[in-house]
Order: sequence, then structure tokens, then C-alpha cells
Amino acid sequence: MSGDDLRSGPECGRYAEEIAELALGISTGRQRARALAHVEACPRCHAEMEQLSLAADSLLEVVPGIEPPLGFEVRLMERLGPGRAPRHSVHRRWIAWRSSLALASVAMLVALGAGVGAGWLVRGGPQPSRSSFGTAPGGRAETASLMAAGRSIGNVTVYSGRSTWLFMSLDDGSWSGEASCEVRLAGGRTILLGTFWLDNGYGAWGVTLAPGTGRVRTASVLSGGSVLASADFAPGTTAYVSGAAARVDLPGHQAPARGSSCQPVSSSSTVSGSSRRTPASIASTTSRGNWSSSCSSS
Amino acid sequence: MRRTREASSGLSDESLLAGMAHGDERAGLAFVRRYQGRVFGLALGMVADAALAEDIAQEALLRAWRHAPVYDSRRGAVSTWVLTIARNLTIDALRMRRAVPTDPDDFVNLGLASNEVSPDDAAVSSDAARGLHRALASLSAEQRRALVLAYFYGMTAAEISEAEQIPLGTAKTRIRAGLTKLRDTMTSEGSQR
Repeated sequence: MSGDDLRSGPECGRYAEEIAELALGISTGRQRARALAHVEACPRCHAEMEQLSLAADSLLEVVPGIEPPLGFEVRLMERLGPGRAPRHSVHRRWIAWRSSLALASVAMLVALGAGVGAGWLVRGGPQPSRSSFGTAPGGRAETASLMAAGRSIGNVTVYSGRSTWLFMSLDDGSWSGEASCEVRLAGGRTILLGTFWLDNGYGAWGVTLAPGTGRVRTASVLSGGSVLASADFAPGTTAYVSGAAARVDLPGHQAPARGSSCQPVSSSSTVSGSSRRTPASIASTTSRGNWSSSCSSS
Repeated sequence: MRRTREASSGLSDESLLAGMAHGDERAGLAFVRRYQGRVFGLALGMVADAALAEDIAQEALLRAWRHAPVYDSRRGAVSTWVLTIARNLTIDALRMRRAVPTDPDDFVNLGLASNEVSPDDAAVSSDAARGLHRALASLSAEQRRALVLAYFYGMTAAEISEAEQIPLGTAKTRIRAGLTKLRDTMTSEGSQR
């Protein structure tokens, strides 16, 4: 059927434009009601609208696919989670935390080498999952919320097992640019672990800590010498429980001297089976980026 | 224009949806992996915000998953169903969140420039894809733009008239002429194969 067929009847011709708009889904109000009533009663126009609808829907096919950002599938699965919780509910923090754990498991695998490159591991390897984290032998995970101005904008997880690593994810905020991660240990020592990038407040980053680093008491995200957010690991914080003791934004906080270097990490003597690594085996990502091995600390 | 995929997982879209409807998580994962690129690509093509596009893409796939039991194959292909969910969500986002849309010309060019057929599109005839591109290229620039504004941005003829600063009648004519020509060219392409 062609447009000429449609115009062949005076009654049908009156609805030619309306039918095209119906097919595109942009018809509104009384115009829509009148056109629909006609289409329902007229087999010719009904067939016309079906064909035009198919033509309109074919437009969907010309839009090229684009690989979504790293962690897309993990985040989606968490949103689908057991509670079927709607987004932006209180449950979201839990979801975000579980996502960070799942990503953290990838960070751990990256840190452990696993015999493959990080890029492959993230993109084409087994998808990070709760179980991959949960079955880490002998490990202990502590998680605390990253607090800024009294609200949680992400999480930090410190995992202690065969190796010790820290992983943080931020999914709220407004900062873009380079940020650094600093931890204060239980003994009072402060270490600048490295830097990573935030994209509109969104980013995730992890680092393997040197053996014997000690218990992390506070992890902070800094930019320009100021603390953007901080997470306290209060004594008693346990695995799978969000610590959440708040330390609010501290403008003017004096950052430590940048002389502290990235912690030497995961050489073959400290991580079983891994090959020797760069000064710090750091896996970092932003919402758009890929995991990479980089450390820009001094 | 109907397409049934028997892609890498070896199962058709309809089979995966049936599995999802029965709570098979593996089917759901296969479905997500099959469509996440296309859904995200569509959303990102419409809004100039990767984070928002991801949010939309995830919501679209979640809705497809949750509503798998009510998918009706008689009403359209699975790909159309999923992508339409994503399109509608993106239109809602553009309206409700006042998100910044992609420039319609950029969007048109995105579609026209893309001749790629992804591995998951293996069952989709590349002839059909090329025919679709030829059909779109056969439209005048004004017709393509009107169709994009209508279909992807959800703009009514009156809104297109205002945005394009053209009479309402001209907007309606561009919409109808563009869509019927697209249909006719595709029909002609199909009959030649």
C-alpha cells in the first residue's frame, strides 16, 4: 500500500497526516482520538498505520550500539537485586556498596595477577559477582561510607586476606578532575596512596597495600589539599556491614607532604603467583574509563 | 522488518525472554549482554550525558526483564520492544529532567554514518541494514530532521513547527512525506531482495 492508496478515499485522505503522526507516537488529544477511531473502523488505514509504524520503528535500527561503561552489568544486576528495590530508595546505598564490593573483587583479581591482563579481566573475563568476593579464602572486608557534608557519597572497602587492598567508589557529588586518596593508619601514620579521576563525582579506584601496612582507620579523598570526603573505619566495623561513622568535609585540612609514595605492592614475594608489578599495582577507573595500571603519586 | 535473533548464546530473543519470564537468571544475563550496547547507544545518541544514558539504559533493561512475561511477539520484534522502552524513557528524561538533547543533526548523522553490523546482529541481514540506510539517505535533510525530532525526541508537529520556525502545515507535511517515503523505499528495497 502506498500513500496514493491512502488518499484514494476522501474520508481516508483527511486522516493521512494524522495516521503518520499516530505511527510516530506524537499524536495528541482529540486529534489522536479522532484518528484512532477512524483507523479502527477502516481496514485500509489500519494497514497503512501498521506499515508506517514498522517504518518508524525501523529508525531504531540505524542507531549504532555503543559499549556501556565499565561495571554496567554489575550495577544493573544489583539494581535488579533480591529486594527488587526501586532506585533512589534507602536500599540504594546497599546496592552501591554491593556494587563496590563486586568491583572490588575485580580489583583484587587484578592485583593478584590472575595470569591475564587487567583489561581482559574486566572486559572479557568472568563478571564480578558477590560470590567471587564472598568466597575469598580467609579474607576480611570492612566497609565504611565516604561522607561529605554529612551525607554518604560512596564507600570504601578494605580487604585483608592473602593481600590487602583498598577500593573506593563514589557515585555522587559534583567534582570532576584529579583526586587523591589518603589513609590514616591506626598508628597515626598518614599515607598518600595515589590519585585517580572523578567525572562529575563518579569514579572508582583501588590499590593494593603493602604487607604490614597496618589497620586503616580513615580513608579520605582529597583535591587541591582539601578533603572532599572521608570514611572512618571505627573499631568493630565488620565485613559486610557498612561502617558509616561520619567525618564531615574538612575544608582547609592540611594534606600530608606529597613525599609519601605509592606503597610498593605485590611483588612476587608478597603475592603468590603474581609477576612483579609497577611501583603500585593500582587499578583505577571512572565511569567512562577502563581499568588501568597507573599511579601518579610522587 | 521483523527480526529474530539467534545470536551468540544460540537462543532467540523470544527464547531468552521466555527464560527470563520463568526466572532464569542466565537467560536474563544473556539478554542484557545482547542488548546493553544497543540500548546504551540509543540513549547516549539522544542525550549528551553518559551517566544519564547509563541510568536510562539500565532502567530499560530492567523493565524488559521484569516485563518479559507480558511480551507479545505478535506486536513487534523483541529488539523494537526493548529499544522502544529505552527511547520512551529517554524522552521522559528529556522532558522531566530537562536533560540536554543531542543535536538532531548529529543524531541523524550518527545513524547515517553507521553501517556497522554488530556480531550480535549476525542474524540480521546486512542487506536489510544497508537498505535501511539507503532509505534514510533518500529523504531530504528536512524530512530526516522532522522524523528524528518526532520519533526520537517525541516532539509533536506543533513543537516541530515552533522549533524549526516553519508553519504547522509544513511540519506536518515533512513528517508524513518523510515517513511514507521511508516506508516506500524500504518496501521497494525489500521487494528487490
